[in-house]
Amino acid sequence: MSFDAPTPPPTLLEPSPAPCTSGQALTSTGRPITLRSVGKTYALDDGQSTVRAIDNVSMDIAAGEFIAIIGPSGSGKSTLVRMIAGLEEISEGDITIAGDSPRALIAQQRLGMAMQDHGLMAWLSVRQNIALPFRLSGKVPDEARIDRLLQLIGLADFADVRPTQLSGGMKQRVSLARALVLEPDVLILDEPFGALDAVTRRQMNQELQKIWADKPTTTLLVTHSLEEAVLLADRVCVMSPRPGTIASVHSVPLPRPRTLATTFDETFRQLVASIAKEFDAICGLGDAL
Amino acid sequence: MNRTSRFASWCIGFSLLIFFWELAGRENWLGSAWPSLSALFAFMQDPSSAALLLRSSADTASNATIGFLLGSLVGFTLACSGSVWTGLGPGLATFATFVNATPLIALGPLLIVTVGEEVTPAATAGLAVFFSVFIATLSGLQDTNRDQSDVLSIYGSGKIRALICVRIPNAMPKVMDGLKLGTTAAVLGAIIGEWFGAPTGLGVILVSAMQNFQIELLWASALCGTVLSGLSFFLLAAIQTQFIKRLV
Ligand SMILES: Nc1ncnc2c1ncn2[C@@H]1O[C@H](COP(=O)(O)OP(=O)(O)O)[C@@H](O)[C@H]1O
Ligand SMILES: [Mg+2]
Repeated sequence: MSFDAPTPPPTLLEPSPAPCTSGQALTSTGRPITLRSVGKTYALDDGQSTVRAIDNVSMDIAAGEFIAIIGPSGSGKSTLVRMIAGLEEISEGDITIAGDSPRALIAQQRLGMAMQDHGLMAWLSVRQNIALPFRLSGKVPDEARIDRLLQLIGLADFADVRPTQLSGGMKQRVSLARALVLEPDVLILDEPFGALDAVTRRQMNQELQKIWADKPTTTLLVTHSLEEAVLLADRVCVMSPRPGTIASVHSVPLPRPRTLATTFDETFRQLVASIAKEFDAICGLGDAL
Repeated sequence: MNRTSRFASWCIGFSLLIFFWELAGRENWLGSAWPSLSALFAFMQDPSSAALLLRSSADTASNATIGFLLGSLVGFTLACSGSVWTGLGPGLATFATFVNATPLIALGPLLIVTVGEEVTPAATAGLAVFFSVFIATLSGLQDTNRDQSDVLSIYGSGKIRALICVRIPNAMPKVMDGLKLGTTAAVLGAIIGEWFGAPTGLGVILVSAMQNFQIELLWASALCGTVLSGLSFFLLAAIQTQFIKRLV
């Protein structure tokens, strides 16, 4: 595989100091997250059968840390982050965010979330979609911040366009900007780049990193791409097939900012290879490859 | 089929209809109660009958409009409150179904003796509109997909704000459909209401023309009613098209 030389995207930010893996970056306002023996069982519509989606997950996430979660489809990645977001009831165990429940975080509007289907409102312009969290929480939109985010995601010229006129990648960027607009303490990204082509995806990875470096916050990124996980995260969690548990956690000791050049780095490639091997073993592919 | 040929075939069909109607009237194929079109138009152009038809149409239109506005307002508001106070939902749905299941023919006389004959036509029109708008709004409000409801749970600090910012705009296409169906229902409802003894309106002329065997007047007022509901339907369809264009 060969990439073209990376064309550096126009940077709108001062280069920011690399946050360290333990996450106490200078500007970070992120909150730590603690999971204790968390389990989730879904009751199915027939009222009798159940699905065990998550089993006994315990984890400590530092404030301002970037965690990537990878795992096969159906391993409960979405369920796990939705429980952290307070969108799904927890069946057993306990999730606390800076000592509070997930719902408390939502009540204070300190959570940002972008999902795979972006959830943009068709009748609102790009700018109005990004401003929606302000409106929904009864605040006056901070136009300066919205302008800055529009610049950052490269859609300043599309501010008054409706989502139907945007490409998939553009919609994802809007959804990312919306997740960031209230400067959340916890940012959850559930396969936000899943539907994008490889080139757009790499571009988005760089943009996300830029935005995150600007103001590191506790981030959980669910992804299918190992390269993406290693490139962006401080730690990569690998989940086992259903019922989902955390099979292993890998620290990523690469310095920031990480660029396309980082992906040619020997440490990067070894890490990706070793996680890939373990991932295959977890999925039951074992030595078949 | 392209536009021109579609228009051409529509013209041919329409001309045939006109031709055979005229022929049937002149030749008395369907008896004397079927007037020829030319006789009908001659009658409608006569100043005194034209004035009567115009005045009655205007009265029916105003009854239908009042009923349409009130019925849609009540239907829309009730559906919205059902979505804010979810406990109300099932009760409201049962109530709406009950209203819908009671035929206007049965409600008409009841309204005449309760609210009076002046108000009855607008009331029956309103009842006819109410249900279609209520059901359309209710189903439109439940239309939010999972990602949209997630956005509401994450940022929403109140059902009313969620309703105004997301659920209502999201429901608008369905609400517009309900309103569109409501227009014809309103005209029909108004005419039925007038039928039971209102002082003026197309419904009144229909009854009296029928009883006095004024064939041309009967046909002319039926035609006016048709034109009225057709016009209101197309008016709303045009508004809807503009609306959707602005929305998406
Ligand atoms: N709302 C739900 N009701 C019932 N089962 C569900 C629900 N959501 C997810 N599941 C089940 O839980 C398991 C994990 O799903 P999910 O968290 O979406 O996995 P992933 O995001 O890793 O693909 C799957 O088997 C899925 O069928
Ligand atoms: Mg998922």
